[in-house]
Amino acid sequence: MTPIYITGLAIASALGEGMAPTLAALREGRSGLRRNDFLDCTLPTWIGRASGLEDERLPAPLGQFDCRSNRLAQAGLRQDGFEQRVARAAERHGPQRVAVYLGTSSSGILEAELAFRHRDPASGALPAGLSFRHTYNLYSVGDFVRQRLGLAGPACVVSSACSSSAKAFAAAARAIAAGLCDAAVVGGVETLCLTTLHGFASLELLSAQPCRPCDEARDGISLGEAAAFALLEPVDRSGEALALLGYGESADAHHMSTPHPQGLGAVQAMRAALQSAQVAAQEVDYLNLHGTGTRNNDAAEDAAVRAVFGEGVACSATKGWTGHTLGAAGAVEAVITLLALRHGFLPGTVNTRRADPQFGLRLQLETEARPIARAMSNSFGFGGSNCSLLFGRA
Amino acid sequence: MQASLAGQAVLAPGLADWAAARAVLLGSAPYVPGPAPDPAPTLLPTAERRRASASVRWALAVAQQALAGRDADAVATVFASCGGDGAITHQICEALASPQGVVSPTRFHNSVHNAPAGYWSIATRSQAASTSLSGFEGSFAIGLLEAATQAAIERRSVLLVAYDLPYPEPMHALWPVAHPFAAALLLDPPGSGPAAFRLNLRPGAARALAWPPSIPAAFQSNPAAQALPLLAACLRAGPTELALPYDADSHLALEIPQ
Repeated sequence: MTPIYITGLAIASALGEGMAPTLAALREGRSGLRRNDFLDCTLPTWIGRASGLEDERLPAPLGQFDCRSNRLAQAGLRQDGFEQRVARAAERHGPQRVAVYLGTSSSGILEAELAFRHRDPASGALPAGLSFRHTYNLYSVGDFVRQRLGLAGPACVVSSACSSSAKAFAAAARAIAAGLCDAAVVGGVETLCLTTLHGFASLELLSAQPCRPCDEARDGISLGEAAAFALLEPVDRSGEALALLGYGESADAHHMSTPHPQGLGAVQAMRAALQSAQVAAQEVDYLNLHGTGTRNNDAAEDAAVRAVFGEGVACSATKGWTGHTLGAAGAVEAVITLLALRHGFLPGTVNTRRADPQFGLRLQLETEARPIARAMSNSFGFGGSNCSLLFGRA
Repeated sequence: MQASLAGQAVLAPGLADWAAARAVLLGSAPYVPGPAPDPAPTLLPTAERRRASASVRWALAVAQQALAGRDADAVATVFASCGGDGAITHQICEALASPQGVVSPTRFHNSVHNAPAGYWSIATRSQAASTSLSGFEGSFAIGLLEAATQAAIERRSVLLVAYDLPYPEPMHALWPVAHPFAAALLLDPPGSGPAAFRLNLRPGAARALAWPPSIPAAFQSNPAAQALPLLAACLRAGPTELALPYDADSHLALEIPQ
């Protein structure tokens, strides 16, 4: 593919709002996880909760969209001059030529979960005021972001579990290549909700401690919430020359919630990303693992990484900082990978003390200053949906 | 953007398969209301069959029919659905609101929007890329544009599967879809087949919808049923233009040449 430039970035997560606190936490090895204090949920786990959403207010014309997911989306969009960059792109190309491609796995489902607690005892009806279109439909977050930014180009919400927002980058890159748009807002938005907390608990995949990806004693995930965005344009307007160089997508064709033990689908996605960028494996300096912290996921990814890279690439998993943000994880980790490229460092693997001795991949435990030229980010999800993104200077 | 239609399938009450839908769309047979079909997940291994929900079975049934014996490994897929699996959303929300608050693990992994894509890849052993998306009332048009874009840019065939099943009450009252509907369209890369059509995103809401007169208007409440105007236009002799709902402020304009 022809490289597509990253001309804007924004993030809000458990590490704080904006690039500065995210970068500081990564450099200082400070995790954003805390003991579960989400609503009245008493599950013994740790979460990456974004602060301040309770006070976030949507502008009046978009009041119907009010829910935790869209509040978080708005908190993300506000960061790092992102909205201004999008506005300039819309001025340049026209709002109908700027696309919105987002990923989420749950959108505003929390609204429906809470509404079910307040059904009419006689009729079973849900409380008045609940809007499917504006909150718990998956497209709600796409519709909201599009209207919030005043855009009218192609729009799409990808929902393929934990690969959702990585795949949004791939879809947006294709839309630009096809001439459907001249710029695209891509990203992921995911909030904590009871479905995912109790769902992962039912699968016995929630750790009772802060998650420790690739640790020999790893025992599950910590959930998190985040909104992360990038502005993609075919021309470099930032002067940084940071670009999406390639993407690769595949399916495991194995099981709904367990990865292929040798990571065959993951191998295919990573190889496809290298091929689409025409970059050799040894030219990649850093790999941001999917690295969730479950026994099976990390072991399968280790096998896949070894098959593609041998031990030649520095790897780390950053979910110990943010928690696993599911549908937003692809975009969150794309932002972290781009920060690593921009500022020249290898992110470490916070919380992890000793890499699994069975693993062959080269795990970066501590964050380390080092210039890097090309970096890959992996996102693998339920249903065996895999996506790898390759970034670098072009 | 251009796309080439190489195969199709339809499943709905009164429209048991493409042959039945074709006859109704051509006006050679009347639409006769019938019970909702209950497709069997014959494609799935036995262990997965029990776990596949109704929306998975509907999506797989049309996907299999439209693929028409081609090698699934060579065909990428796009699954487009506004509401995903409302029955599972209902069961999970109900469980979460109960005092125990316990969610079934199978229900949870089936609740992901890409469950049909996951089961499709398990059933066919296909490792081809798959995208699952939602676009509210424009879900079909958004899926069609995504599938056509993939076919054009990746130069590979793409199977678009659009499906929506009515939500159970009480959520049905908030999104009153009248009938279940699923359709699948097999798109070849542009230039590789005769039945090519052109797609353009245009500003303004779709005004007059070219709804096939032989199909009950109640189907319009199902976003996936927007496949029918396109399939009807592809059957007609002579060039046709039609507009599909995309978003509140835009529509997908289709030009069908033959």
